[in-house]
Amino acid sequence: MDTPCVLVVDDDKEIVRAIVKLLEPEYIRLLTAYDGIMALDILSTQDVQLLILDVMMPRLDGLSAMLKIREKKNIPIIILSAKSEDSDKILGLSMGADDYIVKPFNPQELVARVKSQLRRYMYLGSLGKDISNNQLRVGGLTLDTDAKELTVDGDPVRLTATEYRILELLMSNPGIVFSAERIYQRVWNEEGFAVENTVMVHIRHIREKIEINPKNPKYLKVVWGIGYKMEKI
Amino acid sequence: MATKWKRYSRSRAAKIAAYATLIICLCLIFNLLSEFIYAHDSDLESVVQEEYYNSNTYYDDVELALYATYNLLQLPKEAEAPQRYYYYYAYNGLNGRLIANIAPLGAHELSGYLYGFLGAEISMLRVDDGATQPLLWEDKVNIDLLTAHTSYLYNSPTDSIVYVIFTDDLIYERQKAWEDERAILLGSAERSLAVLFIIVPLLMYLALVTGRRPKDEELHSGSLDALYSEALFLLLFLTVAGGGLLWFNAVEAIRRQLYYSQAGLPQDTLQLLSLALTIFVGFMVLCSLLLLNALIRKIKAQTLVKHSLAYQLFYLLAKLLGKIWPAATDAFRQVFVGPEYGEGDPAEGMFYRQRRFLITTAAAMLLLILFLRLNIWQLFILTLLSEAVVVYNFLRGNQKDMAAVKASVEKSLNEQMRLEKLKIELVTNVSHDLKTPLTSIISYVELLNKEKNLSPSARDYVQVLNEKSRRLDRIVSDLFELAKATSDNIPLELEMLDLKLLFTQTLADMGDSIEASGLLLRANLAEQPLPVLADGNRLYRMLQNVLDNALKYSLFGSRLFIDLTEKDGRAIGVVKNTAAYEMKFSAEDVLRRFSRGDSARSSEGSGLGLAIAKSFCERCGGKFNIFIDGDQFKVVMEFQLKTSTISQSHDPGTSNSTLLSASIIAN
Repeated sequence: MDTPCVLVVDDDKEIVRAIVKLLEPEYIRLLTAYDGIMALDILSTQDVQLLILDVMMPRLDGLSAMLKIREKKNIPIIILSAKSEDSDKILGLSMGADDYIVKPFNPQELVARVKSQLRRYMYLGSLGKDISNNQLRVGGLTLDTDAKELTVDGDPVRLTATEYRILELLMSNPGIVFSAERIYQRVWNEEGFAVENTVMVHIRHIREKIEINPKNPKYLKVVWGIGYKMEKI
Repeated sequence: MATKWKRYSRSRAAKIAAYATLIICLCLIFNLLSEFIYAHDSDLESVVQEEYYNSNTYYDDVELALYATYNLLQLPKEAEAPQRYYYYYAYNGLNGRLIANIAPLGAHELSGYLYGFLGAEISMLRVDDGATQPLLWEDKVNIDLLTAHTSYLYNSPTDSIVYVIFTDDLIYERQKAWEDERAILLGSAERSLAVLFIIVPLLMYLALVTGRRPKDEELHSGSLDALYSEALFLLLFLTVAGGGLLWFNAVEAIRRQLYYSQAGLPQDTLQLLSLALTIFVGFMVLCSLLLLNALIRKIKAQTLVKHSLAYQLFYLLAKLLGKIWPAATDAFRQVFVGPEYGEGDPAEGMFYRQRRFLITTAAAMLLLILFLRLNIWQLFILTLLSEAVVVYNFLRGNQKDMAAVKASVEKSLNEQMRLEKLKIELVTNVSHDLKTPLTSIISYVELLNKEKNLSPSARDYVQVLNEKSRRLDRIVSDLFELAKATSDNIPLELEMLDLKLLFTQTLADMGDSIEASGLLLRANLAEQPLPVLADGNRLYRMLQNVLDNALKYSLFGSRLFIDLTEKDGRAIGVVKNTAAYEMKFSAEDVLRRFSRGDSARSSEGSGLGLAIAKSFCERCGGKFNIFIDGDQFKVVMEFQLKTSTISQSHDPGTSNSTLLSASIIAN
């Protein structure tokens, strides 16, 4: 397999250099650009597998550049922004980004997210393993209901039987909020009393296995005061 | 040319010449008039009257004849009938005496004398034949005028008859004489008119040049101008009217003297009188001309009105009033309105106004009752009106104050909104500017940490850098969050949620850190769901911050109590912990931003946690209170419960679920 190529775009050169240094040990080829126009130039000549894009940049800002890129390319894009508002994240993701990382970021989390996106794109997306009917997919998560196996961005993850059943329930109904009682009823097959804590603990364990940053989950989310849901990605 | 003309026209000589000419002309006119009046024994009526038998002269003739005939009735019976130039017939009904120079006759026999018939019969003036038929000349004689001339006939004895008959010859004769005189009079009138044509332009000329001098364009006032305008008018009126009257009376006296006395006046006496009259007229004319010109000069100088006694008096009065009025209105305002807003404290102003209003109204009420009892309705109504004015001013003053207060409140509200917006903007910008360099710091610290050949001490330093940069990150984001939380600009995502579930979820979510803290959790949550309308993410952050705080500052091995109960339709969440150190601060201090349990600030955290929690709680409509009692630290969060169902996915029938404390501890 070729060395994947990542383009890092940020107007702050020190940040670009830091990201390059962080990703170099991961056997990734790195290109750099300092504004949206430069990024478009490089993309038109080079074969790039992933884009790390700052939002606030001179000449052409990140979101506008992303719209132009999305006209032609289907590569994963990770937005890097100092804007931490939910509305900013939703805007970025809905405009075509695959991930949204808030500055200042945890360097290890950044590396993990880049690797996750690359794996998905190169080994799952482009290489195009056929998705069988017995597979549930949400973002980078793939649950094989025959083999009772979960892979996160291609990496297999071990689950307990309860965790598997909870995940199966939630992945079968992405975007739907389940109360703890309902999850308990469906997973344990019995009426549940005071089960919020039990369910929550399992959810926490699942999150630790599937999320890059369990404190800021991407897939399995708590709807505070109501229930739990699998994000529809 | 014009200057040259001015030099002549404005010269004193020209003016004196004009004055002289005017005086001479007017004297001439008056002389003609007077001469006509007494020399020709005629009045001026004939200038406008064309027919003799419509003229006063005719009626004078008739009157004279009738009067003379009437007097015959008083003659003794045996007296001889005198001769006259006209026929007469008089019968005294008292003594049966009849005096006539013609035979007694009937009216029909007199009808031949077209202009010559007049009679008085039984105290009544008749201009007819005594029978039923009116005579022909009724349309030729002005009956009203005749009646006025012969009013004395009404005093004649009863059954008296007085007839006067003018023969046609006589009439013609007298008419001719009248017309001759008229012709002379008309000639004089024409001459007077001709003189008038000289007088009018001269008057206009004088009006034009009066006050002007040949050398300059200034308006020079004469000595007469110093008199008030009214005085000038009065003097002018006196000279014209009084002088005219005097002159007329003098002329009339001379005329009577000439007319009634047989002797008349000697020729030299008449000439002397005439000269005296002329001098008098000339003097009067001079006087009135001077006065008239003084008035014209005043008009030119536009001081006619200003330099009048009435105006001066009025002006003085107005000035006096102008001095009195502000003082009066000020006093009125002091009494009825008081200081307005802006002149001082509005509350104080309103207090004084109300006090004044009450006092004046009470006084007015007393007066009203008094006047009603005394039945002085004029004063009653006056007081009533005054009270109305007082009420109106009171209301108006209050309204003004209120409007001013409202305006200032609006102004300060707007200012507050503006500042709030500015604050958010500032914090947003600052936090963004902080985040970018922080990103570099964190990234390079991480890179440094990965370096293989670091000395142990360097690795230790890097570790410190790592921790502190992460903490700085947290502080910046907390600061940003707090700014958002205290602002109303960030919209909430309100939805129905179960507070009990939220507490359970949060406790489970933080299970690891609770376990690691070494605290014993004693959770006592309500049995039934507690539905509230709130923003779930914010309430989670609130509870998380409260719990974080408790975990951070609690005494190791002590118990952490968490209660969630329902009371009077409110959900009350209480978090109690025992502090690991003595709390020498108040609850208010804790909520102050950047305040921290330890003044040395050595521990982790931004010091904003509880402030953020409070802001989020209050933004979701809750109450957030902190109580400190010895080592006991207590946070109380209150929310209003909503009765509607929480969500579709939440199954009913779980309300009898048991307490969770045991199972949570088990985790």
